[in-house]
Amino acid sequence: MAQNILSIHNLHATIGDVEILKGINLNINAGEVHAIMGPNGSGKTTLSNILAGRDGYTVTQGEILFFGKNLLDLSVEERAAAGVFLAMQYPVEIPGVNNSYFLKTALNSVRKSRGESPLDAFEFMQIIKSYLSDVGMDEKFLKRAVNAGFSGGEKKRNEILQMLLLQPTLAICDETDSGLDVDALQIVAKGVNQLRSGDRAILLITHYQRLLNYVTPDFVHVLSGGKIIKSGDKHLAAEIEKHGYNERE
Amino acid sequence: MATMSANNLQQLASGIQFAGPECVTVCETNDVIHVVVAPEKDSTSTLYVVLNDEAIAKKYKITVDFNYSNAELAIFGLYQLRDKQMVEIQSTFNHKVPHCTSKQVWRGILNDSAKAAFEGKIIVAPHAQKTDAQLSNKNLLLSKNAEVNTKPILEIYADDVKCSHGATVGCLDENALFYLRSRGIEESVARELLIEAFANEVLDVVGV
Repeated sequence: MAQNILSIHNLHATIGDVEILKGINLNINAGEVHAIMGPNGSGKTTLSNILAGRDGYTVTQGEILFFGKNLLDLSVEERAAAGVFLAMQYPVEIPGVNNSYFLKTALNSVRKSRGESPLDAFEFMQIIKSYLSDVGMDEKFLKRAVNAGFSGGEKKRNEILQMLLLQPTLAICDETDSGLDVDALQIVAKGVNQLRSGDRAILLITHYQRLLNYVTPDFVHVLSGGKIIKSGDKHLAAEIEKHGYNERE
Repeated sequence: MATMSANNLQQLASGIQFAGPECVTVCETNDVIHVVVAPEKDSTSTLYVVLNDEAIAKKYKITVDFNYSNAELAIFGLYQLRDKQMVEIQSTFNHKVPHCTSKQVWRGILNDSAKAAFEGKIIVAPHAQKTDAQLSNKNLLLSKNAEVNTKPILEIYADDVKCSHGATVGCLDENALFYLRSRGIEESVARELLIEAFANEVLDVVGV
């Protein structure tokens, strides 16, 4: 049996006094791609932020196990080092921080926690160059500040670049497909497919089926009102696209 | 914009350097360093002010008198304070003649119980038309007890000028911090990166 990577049991979470997640159960094993679809306000981004460790949410019940260990005990950077990666819906612009320096610092931080030696500038360039071409980015992106002045598509490609570079065991893509043209969508899909392997898991959070036309999920879940109300295989995505979320209840 | 070459860079006082034609006087009394710049006609000059541990007097007064037209002057200033350090900076730009350009970029980083007071005054005389004066002062507070008072003042008596001023006081961007940490970068390193990025808006220009 494939190894369990992520196991969420009865997860309840609030923002302030408002309960957003109302009992999520989800099991993700190595080698699997799961898609979570759901309307606006269903809790998709809350779930991905809680997995990555963002402040502002309170888990009131339930647990999240990552390789059998309590994920909620880990700091944001410890989760990243352990292999959790969140491609964000709105990547943050950080003027003044050089993209290349950022990517190298991130990679070496993660390598350090894996007990690997840090890469020097030359070794880093060798690695990043191949990933840059995978996501259709020019080397000049490395010289710019992190996401500063990037177009929407460039920001999302920069997320996929980071994902490929850090080689996470659990990659979560939070609406990475939103607002992309077909070319950029295909690049994102290619990156996700490239990462897909028997020892990793991928969680795609999306409104639409269109990303799933390029990345075939093993499981599709519908999140609505803070709960997973239906799970199925890839055909469920097509059904939702056709009939909307309302008929799923 | 002013460019700097090593040849004409003068050290005026600890932390203060000047690039441009000779037109500066520095007056140091007990705790006050007063720099007076009177840019020459058609000149371009830049004043660099980097105040940290080694270079903190109680008060810095910077006065720029535009007495001749077509002069350009820029200031890039950074004050970085910690513990109980205190500094007062007062900059006064007198645009007395037409067609002069001034640009001020001031950045402050305050930690612990440090305190700073910044006052940036731009005065544009009635006949100083076509003046272009900009002032930006941004401050980063790294501790609850750090404090900054910033007061940009514009006094404009001419009607065909381009003047802007802005001042902000804030903390490190939590979203940026989360973003860096979510890529495996330790919180302390991520903080340093963001603080450096803020300081580099000035230091990159100074080239130190």
